[in-house]
Amino acid sequence: MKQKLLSIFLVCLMLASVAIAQDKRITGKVTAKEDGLPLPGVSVKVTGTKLGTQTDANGNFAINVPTDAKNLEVSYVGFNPQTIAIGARSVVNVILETDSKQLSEVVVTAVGITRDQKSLGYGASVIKSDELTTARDANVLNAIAGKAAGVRINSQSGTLGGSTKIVIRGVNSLNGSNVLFIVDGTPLDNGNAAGGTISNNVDYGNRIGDLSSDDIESMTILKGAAATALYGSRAKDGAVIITTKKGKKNSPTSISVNSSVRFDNALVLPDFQNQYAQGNFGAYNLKYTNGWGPKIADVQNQKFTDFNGDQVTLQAYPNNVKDFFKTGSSYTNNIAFSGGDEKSDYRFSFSSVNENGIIPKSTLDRYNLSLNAGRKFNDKLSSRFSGTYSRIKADGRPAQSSNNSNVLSATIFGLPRVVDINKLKANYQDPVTGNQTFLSTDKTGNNPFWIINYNQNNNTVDRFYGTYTLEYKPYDFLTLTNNLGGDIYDEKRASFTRKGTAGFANGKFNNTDIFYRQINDDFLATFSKDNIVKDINLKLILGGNYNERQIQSSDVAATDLTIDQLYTYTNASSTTPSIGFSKQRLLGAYGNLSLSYKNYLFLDVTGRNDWSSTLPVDSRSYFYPSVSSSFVFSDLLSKTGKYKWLSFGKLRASYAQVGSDTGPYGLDFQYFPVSTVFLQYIGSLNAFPLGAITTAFRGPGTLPNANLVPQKQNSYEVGTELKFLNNRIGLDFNYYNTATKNQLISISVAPSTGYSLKSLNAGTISNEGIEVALNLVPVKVKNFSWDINVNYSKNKQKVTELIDGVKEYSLASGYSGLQIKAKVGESFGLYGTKFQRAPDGQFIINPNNGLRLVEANKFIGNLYPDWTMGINNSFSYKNFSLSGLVDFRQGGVFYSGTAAGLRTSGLAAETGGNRANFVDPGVIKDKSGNFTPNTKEVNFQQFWQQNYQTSNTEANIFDASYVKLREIRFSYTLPSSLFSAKTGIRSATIGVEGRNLWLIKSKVPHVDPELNFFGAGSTGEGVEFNSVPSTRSFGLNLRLSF
Amino acid sequence: MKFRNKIIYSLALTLAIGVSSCKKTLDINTNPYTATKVEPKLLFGYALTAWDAAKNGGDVQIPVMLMDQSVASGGNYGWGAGNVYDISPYSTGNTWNTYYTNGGNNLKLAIKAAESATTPNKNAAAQCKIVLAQLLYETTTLFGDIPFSEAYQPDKFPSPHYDNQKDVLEGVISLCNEAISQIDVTSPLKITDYDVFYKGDMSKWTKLANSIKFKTLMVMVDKDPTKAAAIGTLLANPSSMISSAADNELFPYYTATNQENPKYRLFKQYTNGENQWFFANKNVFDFMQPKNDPRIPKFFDKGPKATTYKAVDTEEEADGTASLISAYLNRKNAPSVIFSYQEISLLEAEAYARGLGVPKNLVTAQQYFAQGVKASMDFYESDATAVQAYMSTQLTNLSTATDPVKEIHIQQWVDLMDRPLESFVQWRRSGPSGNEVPALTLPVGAPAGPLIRRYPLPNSEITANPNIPNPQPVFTDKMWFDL
Repeated sequence: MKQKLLSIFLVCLMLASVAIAQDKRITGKVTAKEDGLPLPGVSVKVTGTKLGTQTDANGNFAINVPTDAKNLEVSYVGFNPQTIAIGARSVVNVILETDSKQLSEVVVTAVGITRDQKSLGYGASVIKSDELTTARDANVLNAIAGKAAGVRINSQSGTLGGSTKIVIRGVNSLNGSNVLFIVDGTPLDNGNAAGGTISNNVDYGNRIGDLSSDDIESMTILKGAAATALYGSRAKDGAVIITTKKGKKNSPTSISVNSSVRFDNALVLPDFQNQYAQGNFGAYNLKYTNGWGPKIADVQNQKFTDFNGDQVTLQAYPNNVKDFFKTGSSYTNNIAFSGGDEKSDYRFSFSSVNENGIIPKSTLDRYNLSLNAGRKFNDKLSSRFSGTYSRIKADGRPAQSSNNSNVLSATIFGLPRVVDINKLKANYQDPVTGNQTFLSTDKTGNNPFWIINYNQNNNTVDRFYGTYTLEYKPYDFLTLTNNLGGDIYDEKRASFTRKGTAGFANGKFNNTDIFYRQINDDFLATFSKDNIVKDINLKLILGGNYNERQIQSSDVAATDLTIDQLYTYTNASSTTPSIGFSKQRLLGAYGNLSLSYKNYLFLDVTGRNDWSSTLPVDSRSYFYPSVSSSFVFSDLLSKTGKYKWLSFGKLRASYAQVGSDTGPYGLDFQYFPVSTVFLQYIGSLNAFPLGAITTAFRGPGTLPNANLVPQKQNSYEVGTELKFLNNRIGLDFNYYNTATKNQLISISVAPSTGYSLKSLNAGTISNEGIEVALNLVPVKVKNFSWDINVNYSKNKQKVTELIDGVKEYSLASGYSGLQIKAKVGESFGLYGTKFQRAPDGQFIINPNNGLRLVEANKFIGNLYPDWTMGINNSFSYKNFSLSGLVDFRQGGVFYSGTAAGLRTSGLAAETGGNRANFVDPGVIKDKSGNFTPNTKEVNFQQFWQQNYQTSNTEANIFDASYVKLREIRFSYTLPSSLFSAKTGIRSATIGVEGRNLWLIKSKVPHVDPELNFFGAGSTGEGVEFNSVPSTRSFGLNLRLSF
Repeated sequence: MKFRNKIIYSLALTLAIGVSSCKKTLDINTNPYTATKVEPKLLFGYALTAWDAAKNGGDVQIPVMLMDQSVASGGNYGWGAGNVYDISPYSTGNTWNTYYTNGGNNLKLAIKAAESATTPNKNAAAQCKIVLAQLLYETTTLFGDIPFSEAYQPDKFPSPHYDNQKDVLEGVISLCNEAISQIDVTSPLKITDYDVFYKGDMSKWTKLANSIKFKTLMVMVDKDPTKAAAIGTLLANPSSMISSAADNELFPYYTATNQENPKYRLFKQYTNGENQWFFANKNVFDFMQPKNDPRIPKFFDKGPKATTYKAVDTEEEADGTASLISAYLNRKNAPSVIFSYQEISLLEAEAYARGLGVPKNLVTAQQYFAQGVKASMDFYESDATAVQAYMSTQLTNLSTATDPVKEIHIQQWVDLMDRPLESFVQWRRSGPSGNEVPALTLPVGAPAGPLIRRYPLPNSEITANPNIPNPQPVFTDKMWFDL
């Protein structure tokens, strides 16, 4: 409507002009000198008047000018402005030249300081809005995958709204990696689903996934300590600085719409055998949900009782697992209104994501309302507010891993091959009694349809985060800025288990309420003076920081319900509540001195002192410095007139030290109230009150330490940025070395001391690596261009020191003897049970039963890749553009619990075929240590059941290398000539997009090698245990602007 | 006051307020939801519960009963076929943690709290010490040489040295003696309501302490015959030890939700509250069946496809005809037996039958033997008529038996079927290698070699304690008491 009014108003205005003066119409096209391509959005003004317009998507403009008009002013960001005499012409074509001074981009760095990229003495990757808003992913972190060198992104599970892990330049700490996220100056929490071996392991997502990618203008990934030094301790593992979109000053209201619809299916599903039914040693038995029964073809003359009590002839249903999953769908929409006058600007945006997962009954709805508004009160005082409210509601998040009869993938993948999924779906419940129809006669396995219909895990998040910035500029050289921000959310999680569920015959439910609050204030005084001494510019920033983080949680477990499906506490015969709380504060004072000489030599020195509430009073104050420098040598060379092939050249180097604190409450000896005790195969067992023992307390498991000191991280990096042949070839190379010392960790101590862990300062981990980004433009002609972006990273992690006498440190534990450990002299590795081998590598066989012998607690392989690489190719032809991103990982190992389950249960394809006894090639070791070839036959079922059980780690270990087609985008921008002014449409782009499309190469059978059951918050990775399969998605996108 | 001074003063004041509030801002490092001081009983209650859950769960009960072959796994039909000697490193770790951190250290903290109170609570300290003695007895009989004298003192001994098993067992006896000397039956200061064993009846605690000493001496005496004298001293005053079922040390469980026996709770979570995993083992059943032992219907349930009781071998593939470990033993409110009247009676019978510290006397032995067998049958609520019939017609007469001590060991073995930690000790101490009661053979799937003799040390201790024994013992190594 508004658009219509505006059009009418414009028409009136034009009519009025016609009435006043004689006008003439001038048309033209603005192109870039460099490549001859049209430039859209170029401002064309009539000198001395307020008349003006902008070029359209094809660089065309048309303007009515008074007959006496002399000149047109044509200007565009990044190009030299031009003033052109009109003369008698009615067609004025303009060629703009790139502004060499503007060649480098502006980058938002620590504490919101905007810098010329060329002045940076450290590596930083910038992800622009375009990269995030086409082929959008519900979790904005997934959109970075493969796009920035030194940044590793892993989606943890196929759970709708599941979590994504980010690691920048390797893991620096025994406590894992925690990247700092900043949105418009305010730190945001990236809380993660608890991972690991806990039962009820549900992926509730990571909180950065709450952001809407449509609101993001840019993401700067600051990788090294020098880049993040001003943030101090919290950014020791790198920082991601997110700047949200703003409205433009002096621009009419514009509306943009970005809509996508996408469809999902499972990327990888297991390969099954389809020859054998359920049973044991070839005999059909309904007690087992496996594939060790009779060969289906051999028993066609017999009838057997199926799960539903029917007499059937056995038949394989090869697609029963595939057919359980449905086609997921997601609708992602954004509408944003923006505009501004001379003093104010605003942008208001509404985003929605509505997803239906591939698992029936799993849904996710996310809504974001954002406002970014700025106002310049006068020449000296201005302010800006940016804030977002988001709401996430997700239902049907599946339980993963083990020790829980509600684990969905285990149930689905474990379906006997003779189960008809449609029959199962139609008969998961007795129509008369309403009781569950179990899969097996011993009622131990839940029907997957019972689980998805009744035993759901849901969560809702209400979150607000925002920043208010006040800027006062009393003098030209001085700016005072205050940034006050907050991030507050309330998350409610609920899980239900209906009465009649195997494992919980009387039903149960759990409610968890998490309240998080972070308040942050930064005050900055910026002095800047050019030519303080001839050719030297100075900028000095002094700042102070206040940060408070509080997290409060309460959890109530209610068991044994009276009335079916009534999930209220009074309906439960036992409720166990528990409370969690932590609060910490940090005060900081910092300074940054920047000097530049002739705009080609730059030096930055920073210092920060922090005071943390979590450290002992005597050591809670700590200081750390950084220095970085950048030298743009091409500026000097260009003056010689030679080396024209070199368009840009820069060397950079930096050194930084970062201190950091620990979590709260680690200093005092405290007694903890407890409601549970540990019981193997259940985990935390609700126990208290237990008869007369109504209340229970326990001493700490971690021996506190009142003498902790801050942790220190030293790092340096050197790099270069080179551009050749008119920017057709660009190379960014970086080498870094980081050593994190005096780690604030809770290290394992001998439990015979009475404690499992002890807080102390110990250990050094070093990370050393290179990052290479290569940009190539092999073809660039008038209507066509081809861009190649390659980024490659290689990181070598090494534990150089633990505490005296301790050679290894357990970082995370999986099931059945699998552990992630840090060992002196090694990188973090996966340890577990291996097959015993003779010196020549052959398996040593047990002569009694023909099975392989094993040995526990051995090194299995490295956790982390040797290198990773992303290659992005983009092509544009006229209004068409096509791009594809391929992601590589080389090295590291992967453990698949799903593979173990499929193999031991005789369902995996490799357990099919001929099931006769055979001799496993290997050797037998006699008492005197001599080896002779094995001759003992092994039973086929026992071979798989015993050798490949979950506790034989090595048996289910694979090379974690993979090649993935991560993203494909194709778009077409409709010619603007299609739209008449009446429609109000300024541009329209339609596209086809796909994510996670193709696992081109993988050495892991049955599952996606990217899955991780430890969750994004743990150091552990490379282990999958009945994870929800990840998805591939494909769809359409429409972008409009009015 | 001059204007300039005013400014200076107010600036100084502002600074002072700023600095002090800065300090206040940061002094928030106290957890509002934890306590810095607690009563001993709260730690005592937790330690007992954590200990008992671990004993009756998947880290001790299940692996130990399968490896000492008192219960059968049923192969793939039941718990799953596997190498029953392949003890999960988590089980060794969790078990060790129960004894040293969750259980042991909280008892140690409770003792410290009791003894350091303004008016020391000596009885509470004694109660905790007696339980701690039991924990350490279990630790050493499962793991062998263990940290004792340097344990539980992280500041003084960050890497505790290991004591010889002999010294640990002596230490267990000393702990009991220390507790006995601290007990003051007249003092109202004691753990009463949280004392789920004896409700603060300190005379029963004394009896328990003496019984623990007796049992410990019986474990030591084969290797160290000088212990016979101390056995004799205790035998001279049998009423100083557990002397009726009322003195039993039982950890109670209830039918109420979350208060059920951990064995039941495992089945509740996985198999609808019924045992589908564990079966009667021939190693126990074959002693009971010929004499129509009245405990058979209490220990076992017939298979769903059977009309008679039938046992299987440890790793034999069971089917619908095999008898299961009974729902009775795994019932919600089955108490966990920690020390029983039948146990002490049979030990007393053994001491008389062998003449340990007393002249060998098979008549007295027979009295204790009958008392023990009947107490066991009664404890498991066997049919009274059947018990009567058994006692009058089936009970072995030790005086005429070819090997009376073996007959006692058989009854000890049967009585302890549902207490695998104890049955494992009983089997190892019942005779020198190869002559144990019962004679066990290597279970199917276990690596060739001798029978299992212990849990290996946990990884948590191996990696964090440089003072572990070198070489590390392996699971087939015998420990000091085991001949």
